[in-house]
Amino acid sequence: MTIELIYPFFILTGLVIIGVLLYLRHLTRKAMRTILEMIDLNAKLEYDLHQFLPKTLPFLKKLKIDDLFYTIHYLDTTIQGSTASPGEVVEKTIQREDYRITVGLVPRHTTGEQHFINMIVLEILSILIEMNVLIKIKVIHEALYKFSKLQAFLIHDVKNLAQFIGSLSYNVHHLETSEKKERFINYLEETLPVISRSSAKIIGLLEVRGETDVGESPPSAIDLKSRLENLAKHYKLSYTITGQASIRAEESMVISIFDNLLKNIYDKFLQEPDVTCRMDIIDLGDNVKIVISDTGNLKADRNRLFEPFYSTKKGGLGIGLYQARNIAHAIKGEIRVLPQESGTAFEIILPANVTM
Amino acid sequence: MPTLLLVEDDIALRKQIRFSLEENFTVLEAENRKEAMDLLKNNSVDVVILDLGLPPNEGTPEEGLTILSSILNHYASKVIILTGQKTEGIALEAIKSGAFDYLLKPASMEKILFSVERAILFQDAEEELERQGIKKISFDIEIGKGLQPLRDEADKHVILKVLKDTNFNIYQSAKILGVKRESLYYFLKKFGLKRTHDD
Repeated sequence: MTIELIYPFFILTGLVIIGVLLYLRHLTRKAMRTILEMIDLNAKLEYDLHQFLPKTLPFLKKLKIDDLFYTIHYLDTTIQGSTASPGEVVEKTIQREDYRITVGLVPRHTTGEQHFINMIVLEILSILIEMNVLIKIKVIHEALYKFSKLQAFLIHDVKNLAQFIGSLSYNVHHLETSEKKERFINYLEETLPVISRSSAKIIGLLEVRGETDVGESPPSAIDLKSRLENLAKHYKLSYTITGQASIRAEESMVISIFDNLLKNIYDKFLQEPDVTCRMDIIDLGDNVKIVISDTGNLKADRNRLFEPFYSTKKGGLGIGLYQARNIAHAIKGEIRVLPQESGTAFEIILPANVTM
Repeated sequence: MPTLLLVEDDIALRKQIRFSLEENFTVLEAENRKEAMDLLKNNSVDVVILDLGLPPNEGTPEEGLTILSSILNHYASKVIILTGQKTEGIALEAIKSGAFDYLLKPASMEKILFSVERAILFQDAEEELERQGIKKISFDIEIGKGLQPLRDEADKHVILKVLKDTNFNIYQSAKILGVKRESLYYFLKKFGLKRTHDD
């Protein structure tokens, strides 16, 4: 027997190995493609388990998995789907503090390479389900947290408003003399700008999720220097102001932008009494640029200043600057924080004539 | 005319409450802790109407509770809390600290006026008793732990009150308390009493 006689066996064995490898490659590519399609579907369905799980079966069938069953408990919610006639199954359970996931597959068979495909699909499906559950829990927790913060602020403002109306009503019934009437009107006149700002603030909170509405009344000319000075005086800030310009826009919206910025400086001033404020008004023709800066320490992350519900204040709602930027955008303006080493500076650019 | 301090950051509301009160009281106004403490330092204030949610942390009662604690530690003024912060814990903490009354917004002006008048009445009565040499001292004690903690707490409060009245003059305090100076030093050490900046 010569060596030549063994060659056909070598060739045959080689061909078999190549055939097996090609088959496995085909299987793996098919499995991977199908898994990627499932991942893609999950993203398209916005990680919603209720929609995603029932739609996975056609993909699984391509991988010789006949059925899928699952029971998912999270936040007092149960999602369940099960096969009518489970044969041999592979399943996995994930138990955590906030959720419990049981997912199982009913494969056509569990031998050979199918066993590994079953295990890979089960693992990936479990990861996708767990990820979706975690996203859901996080979204719900965040939404509840933000809602409760918003509610607390609204309740606080509404209670103050109710107290104001109650006191006002009491006082109106006790205006016995002309001196009292005059004094009463003086107090009202003195506080009228604050009442307008409070009302704009409450409306702003109610519209926090939507586009800020614009007023219907024709815009009037606003002298920016006097309005900024009034606000700075109201907050008792130590300030300097340069330049002068006026814009035509709805006053309550423009004031609301500046009020949010100066209130932040006032909060800093309460903790750092040396804080000073500088306001520069620059007339650019079609636009007006206002730079408002202060010397206080910026505790917040500069990149997150306009992020809604981000606040470094204890119990802070974190909506002021977000609201200011929304209003600026609504009147086709812009507001941004300027890079600087110390203190904080905001640049606000507003059109000189706001046309809606 | 009794003097009243109104600590409220909402100026519109503050002016309306002021208007209701200023016929019968001298009304001072503050909208934050610094202003409130400055006014207390420079005036003899009988009653403070205090909002708890004050800047820079309007969303929490922290600032108001800090003011409450400073007032009760350093002044004889009665404090009426007028706040929208409704939790049992906050009310309990304020009352435990020694607040005279706790009114929830919106409270009727009649209710606020009634509370202020009661506070003035108590204030006058306590001043009259003080003139007669009788001083009111109040403190919280957990019942059921025997008499010793009660005695210690009573000793501590009496000594602290006398020290404050004498501006921490050890000689005068020892004389008023009828003890030797050495004994007073012993109590100071025992209770960890120190003269604070504001004292």
